[in-house]
Amino acid sequence: MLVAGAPAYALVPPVSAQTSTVARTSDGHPNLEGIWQAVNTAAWDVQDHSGKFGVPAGQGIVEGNEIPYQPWALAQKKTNYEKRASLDPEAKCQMPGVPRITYLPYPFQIFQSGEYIAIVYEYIHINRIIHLDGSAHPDPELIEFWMGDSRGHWEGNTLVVDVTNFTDKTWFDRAGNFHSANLHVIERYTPTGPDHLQYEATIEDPKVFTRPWKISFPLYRRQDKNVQLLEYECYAYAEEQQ
Amino acid sequence: MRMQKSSSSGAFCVALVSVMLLAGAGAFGQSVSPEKSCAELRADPDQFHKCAIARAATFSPRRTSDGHPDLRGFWGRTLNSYDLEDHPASFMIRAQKSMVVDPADGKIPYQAWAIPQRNKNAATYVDPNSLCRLSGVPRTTGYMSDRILLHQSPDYVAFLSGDHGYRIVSMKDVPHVGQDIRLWNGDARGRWDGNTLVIDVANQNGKTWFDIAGNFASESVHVTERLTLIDANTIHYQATIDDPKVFTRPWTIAAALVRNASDDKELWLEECYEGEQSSKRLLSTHGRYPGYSIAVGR
Repeated sequence: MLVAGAPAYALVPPVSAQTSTVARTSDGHPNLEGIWQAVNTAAWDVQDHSGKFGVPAGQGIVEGNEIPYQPWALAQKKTNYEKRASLDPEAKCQMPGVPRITYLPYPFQIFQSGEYIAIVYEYIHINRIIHLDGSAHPDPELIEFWMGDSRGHWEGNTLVVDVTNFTDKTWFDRAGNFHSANLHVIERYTPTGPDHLQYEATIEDPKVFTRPWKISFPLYRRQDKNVQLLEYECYAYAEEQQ
Repeated sequence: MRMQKSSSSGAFCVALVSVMLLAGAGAFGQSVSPEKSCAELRADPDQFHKCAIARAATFSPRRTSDGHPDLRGFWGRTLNSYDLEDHPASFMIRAQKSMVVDPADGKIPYQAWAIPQRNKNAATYVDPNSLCRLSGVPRTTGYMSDRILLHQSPDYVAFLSGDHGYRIVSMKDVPHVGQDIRLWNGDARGRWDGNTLVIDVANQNGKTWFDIAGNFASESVHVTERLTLIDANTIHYQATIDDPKVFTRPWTIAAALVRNASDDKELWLEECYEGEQSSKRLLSTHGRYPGYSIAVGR
């Protein structure tokens, strides 16, 4: 399958004036390859928040700013916040899940072929292979992943990624926002220019929330001279300090 | 290796990946070529190496749209990472001939002081790989993983793995990152030399081992990898290791990487540290490898 695929990365001329700033692969889809990074404060708190010591103030990424927790879950979120130093999986150098990985303050790189999109993250060498072959998720009763299972397809210029098979161990931010293993994330990556992607994610989890909710923010192509992914080997660094 | 429900196979990853998978190494790559493949010699790296050099001279690989050999696809190792040098079978370990093809005696050309250090490593410390560390180069690519997805773009070659992270090789003509940036998998720059992908790797951190036996280099190590398709389903993998602080001369290993012919074209991200259960047990008898600088008192 992979090897039978046509080379998918050659640039071809833009197809219309309207999308003239979006590079395309030879199969006509937007070319998302590059090194990208979010520039916001959602890593600390996805909602609006004032500054605190060590925490930059920030306008949230949640549409309408409200996360529609069920009452018990709102109480859990507050407990999580109070105990964040010991409970936050990021503080323990564990995989951050989706969508949190997208707005951690580390760059990531996208590789693209006709059969898959690979997103590789500087943060603890995580990579996600997003299968584009129309295949189904594996049975969530049989297997789960800290980073979920990702299946994608194109809707016009938008890469839509359906992510399921999560654990209940990851959070959305350092403020204790959380979900259950029933989390279902639908990500949308849409180029809005040569150096910008609009990222949107719909969050569904009927065990924790009263309705689906959305986050959105831009991703920026890193412009730094000779920029490349390095390493952030969180637990290796932590253990070296012990 | 696929994990089962309850998310992590960390204990598997740590305790068994080094040993159990060895039994499976070499399970892939039944050649579909009518021509006899050099890969049939994969258990003897020196014989494979000679066969591969001859075959590379005549084989014309399929090419990508930009004209370079098409290395894309799923690849797997044919050798295990117990010991680069020739070793007999022992408990849970298969015998294996030396991967060292130069020097001809198959021995790593250590400086005299470094041989006791190598022996001390395995006796004293936990193999860093068993603590979910990135494996370093050449280990992570040449003889460690059963499933590597090799991606090619005009400016990058990427090696993606479900259980050993990834490597990104920049094909752009830019210098290595500054020497104060140290990386577990090093800093990789690639170029094409005819049909061979040549990867220059610097900036490793001196904290990885070449194998479970404690073979090591310093953070000054310079690795030059060469990947050459010698038939549709076999890559001749070579790595030349140069480190004047540890070795008397550069030396070269060779191994076959074979196309993973299974129908499974997916790569599942395997947790290691998240579910890691065995590090406490390992660390009860062995210490953490401090890396070259400390280990040799430099």
